[in-house]
Amino acid sequence: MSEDWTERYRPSSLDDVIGNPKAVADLRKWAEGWHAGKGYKKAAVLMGPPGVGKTSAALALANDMGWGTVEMNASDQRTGGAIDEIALRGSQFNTFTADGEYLDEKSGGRKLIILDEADNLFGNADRGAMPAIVRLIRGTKQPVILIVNDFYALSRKSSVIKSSTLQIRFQKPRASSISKALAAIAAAEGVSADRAALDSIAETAAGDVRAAVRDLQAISLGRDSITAVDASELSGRDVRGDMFSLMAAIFRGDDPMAARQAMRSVDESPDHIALWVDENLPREYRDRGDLVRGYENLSRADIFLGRTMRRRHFRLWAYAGDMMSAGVCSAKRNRPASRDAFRFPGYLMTMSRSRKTRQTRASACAKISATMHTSPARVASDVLPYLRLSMGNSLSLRRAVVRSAGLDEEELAYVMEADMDSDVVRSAFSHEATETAAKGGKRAEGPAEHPASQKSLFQF
Amino acid sequence: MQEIWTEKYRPKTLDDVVGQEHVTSRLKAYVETRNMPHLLFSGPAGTGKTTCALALARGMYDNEWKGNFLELNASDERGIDVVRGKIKEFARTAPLGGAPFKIIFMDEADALTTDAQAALRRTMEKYSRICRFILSCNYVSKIIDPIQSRCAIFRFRPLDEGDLKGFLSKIVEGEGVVIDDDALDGLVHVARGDMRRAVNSLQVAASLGKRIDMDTVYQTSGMAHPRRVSELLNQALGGNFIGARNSLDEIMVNYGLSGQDIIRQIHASFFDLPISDGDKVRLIDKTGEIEFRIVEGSNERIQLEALLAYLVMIGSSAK
Repeated sequence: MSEDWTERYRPSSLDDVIGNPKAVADLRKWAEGWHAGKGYKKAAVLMGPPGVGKTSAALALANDMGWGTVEMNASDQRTGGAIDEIALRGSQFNTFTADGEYLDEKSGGRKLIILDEADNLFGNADRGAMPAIVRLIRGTKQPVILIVNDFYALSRKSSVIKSSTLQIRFQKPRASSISKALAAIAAAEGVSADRAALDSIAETAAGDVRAAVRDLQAISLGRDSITAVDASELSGRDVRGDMFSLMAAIFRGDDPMAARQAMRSVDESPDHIALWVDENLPREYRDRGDLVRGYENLSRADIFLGRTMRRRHFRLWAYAGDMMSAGVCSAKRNRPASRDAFRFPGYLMTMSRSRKTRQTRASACAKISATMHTSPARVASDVLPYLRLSMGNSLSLRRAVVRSAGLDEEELAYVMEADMDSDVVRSAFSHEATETAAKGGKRAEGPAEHPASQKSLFQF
Repeated sequence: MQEIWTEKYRPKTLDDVVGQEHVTSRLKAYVETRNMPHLLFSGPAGTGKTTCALALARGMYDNEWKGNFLELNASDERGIDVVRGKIKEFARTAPLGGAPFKIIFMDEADALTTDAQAALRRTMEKYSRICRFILSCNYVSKIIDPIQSRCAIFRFRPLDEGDLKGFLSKIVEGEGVVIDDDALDGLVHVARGDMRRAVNSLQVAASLGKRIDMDTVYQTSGMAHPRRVSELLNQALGGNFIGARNSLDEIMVNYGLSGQDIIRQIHASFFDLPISDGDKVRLIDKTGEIEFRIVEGSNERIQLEALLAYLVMIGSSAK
């Protein structure tokens, strides 16, 4: 009972993976291609929301194919060096399995290299991880699987990832499939569960199989049987239910005082709620007058938030809350037409997706600012727009800036707004030899040494 | 070897500094007497504040200048404590050669809060025996009175067209670039007294080809940022609020511009917008109010969006 059910009931074969028949078939076909010695893509990317079975599918695949596995996930330190080492271990000296059994590559013994949570290459510790992943994909002699929630976060850094991998999308399984799987687990654990209870757990999990299994285990703890009433102890994993009804009261209701009341019953801070109001306001208030009046009141609310924080006078929060709920609600003169689902604040997603970009920007600007007696903030606002253009047209200037500021590939890619493996970035780091040779003689090179690749400013 | 021209051609001596004679003549006297008070340099960007500070230090200490000169950015060293730590460390050792004090140059001093400036003032007091401070800012009025009263204040003016043209001509010669006369005039005009902008534009123009003509300059002046800002304004005026908001996010997140940077550029782009003069005036009033709210509020993005919503409304009434 103490063992985590999500581990105990991980599918051992692809046949047992819940839902996603197409993804499973694609994955199997890819692996068989590898087995036949003609892997048409060396790496596969499994993408999809959390808990839908990506990791399980990868492990089940290895089991089905009789492959060993080399795994790396977010809890490991994924520096470039660590990834290179894994790649080496997995691909070059592929002679022993984890159990010490000798495997000859010719006899088909393979290891599946799994990089879990590959889109979370955040933070300075993961510096250089991206080029290492690209090296791995290019050079591997073993099948590689990258697992991501957000393919965009990974692929925007490098077009190689897009072009040289097979992308397989996992969907959220339907509640009915999850419910069926839960029934099998309950039976195996000797817990009698009625259908309504399992359906309710599956429904709450909203497509996340791992969450469903975990909830089942949590409810079954110390019980022989579970009912729908037991299952109702579970609360949803987030507060969106409340947030959605608050949004409805503000944007679609016509009672400002009811909106104010709804605001008070949501257990979230006003500055967070302001982001929700902000996200949905232009989608709900399509009339220009409503839009501008709504924003006026939201803007007033934000001023109260600012004053609250600056003066540490938390009474003012109440005014902020009233203005963003009752104030925005009362701003409309037209009946709202929208029936769309309310949205999660896009800005928060943008910010979390761009965390790495922002870190890279900060370090690039700091390095450049150190070479030119100017603050990083001013480099970002006044210098980079020009530098980007000049450097785009001049390889030798790119090299000079890289060398004098000590930029790495990622930072240069940010400065140039290009992929890390694009020509514009790679060329600045390669052919050091020709550079040195050219330095000796008289430079014949004019200001624009690559007329063919010249860019006009309108192309940027 | 290629370099960033603003650095390559930054004047090394006070004699080479372009314009600002009223400043450089005083600074030269300080070099001769090996003495100087605390200084406050104020003026717009690209007028030579940092260059003068560097040249002054070179003049005072010759080859020893690097060990005697500390450069700090008020806007980046968040927290006055970090600044104080660096100053303390720097002031621990005696000055080498030349003058009997070291020089601390604090750029963008007006980015410090009032409290931080008060702390800075105490620090200046404490180390004034060993160190002289040069503070640089855009607006003297943003510097607290007690600091102003302890400094000799020098106002830097936007460079005039003759000065800009003379300096650009030197670079043109040094780099072997060919430039048409009217193109040079165009660069100077677009720079509006900002030498950094003039030199940067020249380098971009030169990177496009060996010969710079008016067309090249015209392209160069339609640079990256302002174009994106006017794009955003036009989206809003056209009634596409969500599109304008996406552009705003891109500018803020990917380019790292602050709300203040953006509203400054919005303010500068009004005159090109296809709206009536009456609307322009109303828009200026609203923009001023929004800038105030950015300072006062907590989320500058929400405030900028309120401005975008206002633009959407102006756009619809213009039709």
